Amino acid sequence: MSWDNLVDTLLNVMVFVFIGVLIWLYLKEVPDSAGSDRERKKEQG
Amino acid sequence: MFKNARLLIALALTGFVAVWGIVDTPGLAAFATSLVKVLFRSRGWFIMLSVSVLLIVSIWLVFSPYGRLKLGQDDDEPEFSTISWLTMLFAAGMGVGLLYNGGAEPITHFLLARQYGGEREAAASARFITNFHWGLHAWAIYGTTGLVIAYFGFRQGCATLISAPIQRVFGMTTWTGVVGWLSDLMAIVAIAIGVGGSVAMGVFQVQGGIESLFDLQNTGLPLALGIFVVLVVAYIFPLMVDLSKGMALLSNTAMTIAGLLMVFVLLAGPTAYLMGGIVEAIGEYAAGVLPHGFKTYTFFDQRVTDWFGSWTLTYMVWWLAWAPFVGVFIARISKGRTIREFLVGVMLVPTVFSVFWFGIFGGMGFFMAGRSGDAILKIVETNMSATTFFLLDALPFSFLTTAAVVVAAFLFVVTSVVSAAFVLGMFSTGGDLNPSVQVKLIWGVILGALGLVMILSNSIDAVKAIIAVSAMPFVFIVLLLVVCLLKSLKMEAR
Repeated sequence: MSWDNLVDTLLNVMVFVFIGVLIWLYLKEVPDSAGSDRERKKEQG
Repeated sequence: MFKNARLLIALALTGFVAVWGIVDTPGLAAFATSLVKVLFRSRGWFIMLSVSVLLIVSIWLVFSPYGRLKLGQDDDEPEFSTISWLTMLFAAGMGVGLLYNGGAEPITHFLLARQYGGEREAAASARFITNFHWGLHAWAIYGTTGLVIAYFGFRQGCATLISAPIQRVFGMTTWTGVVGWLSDLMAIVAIAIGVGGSVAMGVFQVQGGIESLFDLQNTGLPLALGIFVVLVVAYIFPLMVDLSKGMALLSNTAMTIAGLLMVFVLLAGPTAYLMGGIVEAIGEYAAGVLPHGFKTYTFFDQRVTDWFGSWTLTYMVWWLAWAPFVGVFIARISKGRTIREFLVGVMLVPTVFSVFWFGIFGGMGFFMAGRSGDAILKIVETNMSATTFFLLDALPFSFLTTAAVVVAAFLFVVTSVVSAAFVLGMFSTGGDLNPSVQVKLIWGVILGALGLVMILSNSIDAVKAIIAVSAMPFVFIVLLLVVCLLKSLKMEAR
């Protein structure tokens, strides 16, 4: 494997990992802080 | 000020690039060029996929029920009338790049494309590619960044920072703290170097205009540096006093000059020929824009892949470099608009304007190439910044129109630097909406130094490479911001 190929593979593996993390973050359940903040503001308003 | 780690590190990073460039300009240019080559070769597909995803998400948001949500509280009304809002969007999109590339870019693509087919097909694909570079994909990058900033700023009450949506959606944890901090830093570096590139481009454009006005030849670095000094003096003063209304006036003046120039060339030039070309361009663009966003020229030869890197990919990362800066601007003027209104306005109106702009200036270039031989092709190959002036020379009142381009280019650069220094000051001080004069001045100096580096490189390709290196990380951040937006919209709908 040439040096160029190795760099190419590494750079692309980083991208694949990033895409995986993005999908995971999108599907991951998180506390509904944004929504609850808005509700709180509405109640105060 | 000196206790702010983010500001200090951002200044150190951008200052380092500036000093390196001034001390060893060819070294920096060579480093950036070789790094960009590696990055584009390995990640070209990812850049194209990302910008296409941004466009598809934007179109989906327009038609989805989320399109009805307001960028602000539900009872907020738009601050500006629709007409002045659309005019201001023009102002954000109308940069010195349009003046620089108006006539030259379609012909540059034509010079390559005609080696692979007939001249008529080459002219049509050159026109299409130019519209692709300046059209919906570019504005989807700006639009999604601006939408995230506006949604989280006006609807969720977050600070105007790139990190704010990440920390709002995923909570304040170690990873969101680190990623958020890095995102703000990368946005600052991308803006600083991107605007530095525009300073250089503006100086080259003004230089080309002065050479054309006074019939000078090969003025080289001395004239470029002279223009640069005048430019720095012109933008330092507005940084020291609050001239927000004055700057809006200057920006509108530059835009009006550009708009009048466009109308003048359309009317004084071969009107029917230009309109015919524009109508064809609209059809070609509408039919091919989405599939072309996925085109990576994988099966073409080295010459085409090099061209793809130095034009299409460079443009896409250039828009990414400007995205936080333009995003903040278009977000600030869009409070009270719905997501649908925002995206339609931001993506469609400037795209239509660009199709007309390149249809008129590029069409004029093709018209001259067809009638007066290879003179214009040679100008594009040897001195791109002189192309617009060469075109104007063929029409009446060329002294006036050339002077108008020089004035507009100068004003565009001054207003860009002043606005960029403000946004950089805001980002680097944790979202302070009124950054101190001291901070703005420091950013003004850094932007000037970065502009100087790119002028010293005396090569628009080196300028593009330096910008591409600084903007590449931002492609990751924009995608993360879009995930934050989609998650937040989903949570709000629950």
